[in-house]
Amino acid sequence: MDNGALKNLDKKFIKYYEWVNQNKDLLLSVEELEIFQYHWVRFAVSLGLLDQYYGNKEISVLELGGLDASTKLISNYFTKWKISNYSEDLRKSDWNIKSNEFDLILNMEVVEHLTDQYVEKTDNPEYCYDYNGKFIYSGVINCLLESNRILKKEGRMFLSTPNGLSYLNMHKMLLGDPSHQWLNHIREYSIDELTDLFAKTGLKINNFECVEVLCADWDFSYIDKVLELTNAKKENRWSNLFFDISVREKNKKEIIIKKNTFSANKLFDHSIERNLLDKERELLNDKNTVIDLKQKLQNEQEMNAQPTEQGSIIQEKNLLIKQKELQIKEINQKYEASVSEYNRISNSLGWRLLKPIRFILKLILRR
Amino acid sequence: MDQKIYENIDQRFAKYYKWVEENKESLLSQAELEKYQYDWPRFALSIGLMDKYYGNKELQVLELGGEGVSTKFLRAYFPNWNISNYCDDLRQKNWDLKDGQYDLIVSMEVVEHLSDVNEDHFEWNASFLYSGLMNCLEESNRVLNKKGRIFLTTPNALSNIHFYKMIIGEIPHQYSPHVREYTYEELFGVIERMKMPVRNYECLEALCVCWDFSYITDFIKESKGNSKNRHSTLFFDLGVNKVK
Repeated sequence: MDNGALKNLDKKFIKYYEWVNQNKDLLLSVEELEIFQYHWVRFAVSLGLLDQYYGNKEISVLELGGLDASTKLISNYFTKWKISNYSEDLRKSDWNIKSNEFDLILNMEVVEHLTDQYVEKTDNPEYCYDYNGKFIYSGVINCLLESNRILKKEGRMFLSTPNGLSYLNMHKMLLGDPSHQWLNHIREYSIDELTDLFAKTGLKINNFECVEVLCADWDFSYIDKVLELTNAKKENRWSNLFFDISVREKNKKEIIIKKNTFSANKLFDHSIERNLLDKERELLNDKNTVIDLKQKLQNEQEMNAQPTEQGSIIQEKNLLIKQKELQIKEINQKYEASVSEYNRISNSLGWRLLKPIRFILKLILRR
Repeated sequence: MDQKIYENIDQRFAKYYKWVEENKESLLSQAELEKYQYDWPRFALSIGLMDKYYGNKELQVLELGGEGVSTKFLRAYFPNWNISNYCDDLRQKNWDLKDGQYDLIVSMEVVEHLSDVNEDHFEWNASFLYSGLMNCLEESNRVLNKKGRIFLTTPNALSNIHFYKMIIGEIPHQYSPHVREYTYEELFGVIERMKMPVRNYECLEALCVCWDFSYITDFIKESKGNSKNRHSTLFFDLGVNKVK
């Protein structure tokens, strides 16, 4: 057994690692042993987490992707599970599986291989740019939506995928290689990107772990220096992400819009920048409404000044005017409150420190 | 003109930047000025390099992608060029154009938008196969004449801004809807496979011209990484594969 890989591995996974090591030669073919030679830690961590989350109960399980080493190991470890495989194109809508069928879906190392849905060439003049010029996540979204459909209401999904922001990716980039863990992956996702995708497909995260499975004996501490220098987060920098997912909203229907309106820019969506921008916009709107209302009031007063109006109508109008004056007062109060809030945030130290990030975001999101 | 960018841009291209700044308002619409407000350095660098490589001669030029801001700039700066556009799907084979009719193909910020075209993606081990990009280069090679050239620009996947985004935990792409952002080596590998010679090549900062990335540069040096090609954009000048 390779002790190097165990050096940084969490102790709770060691017994699974040993199990994999003892059984792999019996269960797998020589070819598979060759292909998966760098995957034993990942299998061990997956087994450990599956055991922790679901245990060896009698449940119906669907594994996405063909029957391979992971299926063999899992079916031998969890003897009570009824495992089937789905090896069709996961990007195509309407999988040939009934709804509400499974207790558990194993979605291991799959999503990073999904391109966008294949779109037939059409005569639409905008076809090239709008339909295929951009990565719109339609393949992944379809896979998650179909998983949502075929899961029982209480069903769960176990999803593992490489971490696009891992130490390993940064290490490769420093050496001058592309930041992909494996160049043939379509996309390696960041946690924020995936969280966003789950939210869009009616799923939610129950448990989450980020574990080093590829370079468990490597020392990446030198990268911490640059993270410390920029006050960036050190958490979740290991090579693989493991999610335990449940269904939040059954049969969610996300219409995959072929034009690029899908934004996975989570950081931007939830940053102070965005809140401030929204606030600015609200302020502007409020200002406009105040001006509008004042003008309307003036117009109505002029109308009322005309002697031809009947008494009752004038009374009604006066009431309306009073109501609107109240509304304006409220809006003015809101406006003042939001101005002071805006000033408070924009003068705070944190906001000023964020200036470079704001600038870069503006650069990046300019299109 | 933004004086700060003017001072920080590679001084070989300062005069082109000045030209872009002086002419953009007369050439472009308000919406375009708004949309491309961060792209002026990139246009300046591209025009500068094209001036250096090809000059204002009488050339048959094909620009990949629809007619847009870049076309307007090219028409204004290179009045002798006869520019046409091709805005059909670039990933498919058999473009609707005759063989060998162009002297120059301009492919600015296009290749990062080309996805694969294999419908049987899953049979190919669900990998990224570069088939869209390869078809595009092959067809470009076909419609160019024997002395033809390709001017190709694309974001650099090794740039400082990428690394910065990884540090702060953002999606590790210059722009997340890009299908694939390439490194020099990766793109060079594909070009080599097409047997097209790289005549000239530059990696220049066109996005964060005024940014101080010195802490990243220092860190890369300190950790004995590869500090080559760390600017935001790759510019290639390619020849044709004469064997075809």
